[in-house]
Parts: sequence; C-alpha cells; structure tokens
Amino acid sequence: MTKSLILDSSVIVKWLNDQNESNLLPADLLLKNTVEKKIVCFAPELAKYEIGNALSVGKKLKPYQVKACLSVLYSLPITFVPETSHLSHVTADLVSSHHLTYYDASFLALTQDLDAVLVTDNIKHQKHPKIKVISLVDYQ
Amino acid sequence: MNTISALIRQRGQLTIPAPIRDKFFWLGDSMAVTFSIVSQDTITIRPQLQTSSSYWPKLYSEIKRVRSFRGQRGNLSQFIAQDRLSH
Repeated sequence: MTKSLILDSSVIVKWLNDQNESNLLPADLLLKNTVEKKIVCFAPELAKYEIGNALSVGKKLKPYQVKACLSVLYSLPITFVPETSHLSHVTADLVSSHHLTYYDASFLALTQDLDAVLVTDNIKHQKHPKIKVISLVDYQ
Repeated sequence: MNTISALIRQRGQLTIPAPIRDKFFWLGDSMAVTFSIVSQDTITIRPQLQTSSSYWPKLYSEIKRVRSFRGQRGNLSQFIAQDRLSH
C-alpha cells in the first residue's frame, strides 16, 4: 500500500524556493518519491495561503514571479484538503490540549484523520506524542 | 471556490463541465485521471501523471525556473513558522 504523507507548508515551499533554504535534498527526494508513486502527498488548503504569503509578503517577489510560483504550486502532486467541520474540531482539540497555533494544529489534525505521517521542517512547533511526525531532515 | 453542479447519469457517467475542463489541460480528451476518496463528502480527481511523458520534465523545468527567482529574503520555511506565531 502506498504510504500517505501530509506535507507541511515549510516543506512544500522548498519546491518553489531555494534561496537560503536548508534540507533541499530530502525535499527533492520527497518529490521524486511522489513522482514514482512511492508515496501520496496531502496538505490542508491552508498551505496554499501560507506559501502565497511567504512568496509575496516574505520574499517580496514581483507579481509575475509570484504567479509563476503559484502556477507550479497548483501543478504539484499534492492533494489539498479543505477543512471540514470535523477537521476543525480535531484541530481545536489539538490547540487546546497541546498549546499549538491553529495553523500548526491543522496539519496535525489532517495527519491524524488520514492516519498518515506529517513531514515538516518546523518540528519544534509540531511535535506530538501520539501523531506520527518526522522532521524533513530525517526523511529518507 | 468555483462551484458548478452536474448530474451523474446511468452507470455513473459524469460529464466534467466545460468551464472546468477549459482550466486544466489534463482534463482533455483521452487523458487518464485518478480518483481519491478524501472524506465522506469529498473526492479528488488528479491527472494520472505517469501517462504523460512530457508532464514531469515540464514540471521539473518549471520548478527550476521559479527557484531561480531572487527576492528580498529566503528561508521561507522559517518565514512560515514565524508567521504562524505572529497572528
């Protein structure tokens, strides 16, 4: 059975930006494994907004460059999952029980719901004792 | 989100509305797609990419191109982590 992974925005963004990014090799390996159908990748819809914001407000790319990046983002082999009432409740519980931001928790909630593994480059804020989370640097 | 309704016909046949087909090259005639069950009320349709020999080289080429853009800061992974804490 193909392994399901949830990708944090901190991982996906490396497929669009290599300026001062670390852990590009494992990020590219993830993409390669997705292409070869060894894994299936999901992310909350939130990832699109966070990455759009990082490219335009953070990196301050020109509008045509942001649009080019977003076109690639929408072509990536990732299934973006909209938040449902159920997922929002799971997220709210995680925020309350583990003092996470709602943003960090939404990725964990989807991971729990799909019984998947979260891959993140933001392990400091997304560790959880019962949900499977691996740091991008450890992905192989 | 753009929402367009359609009816499922006999034997589960569903015509993807033209306004949606027009937006995605991979919804053209004879293109293979895969269905994924996401939840009880959500199914996704994605291109079956391996059938298109030109798709992946094109995507890799586009990734290489957009990665070459230089902006006022990099390390966007860190930006995203900090951004979540700043709201």
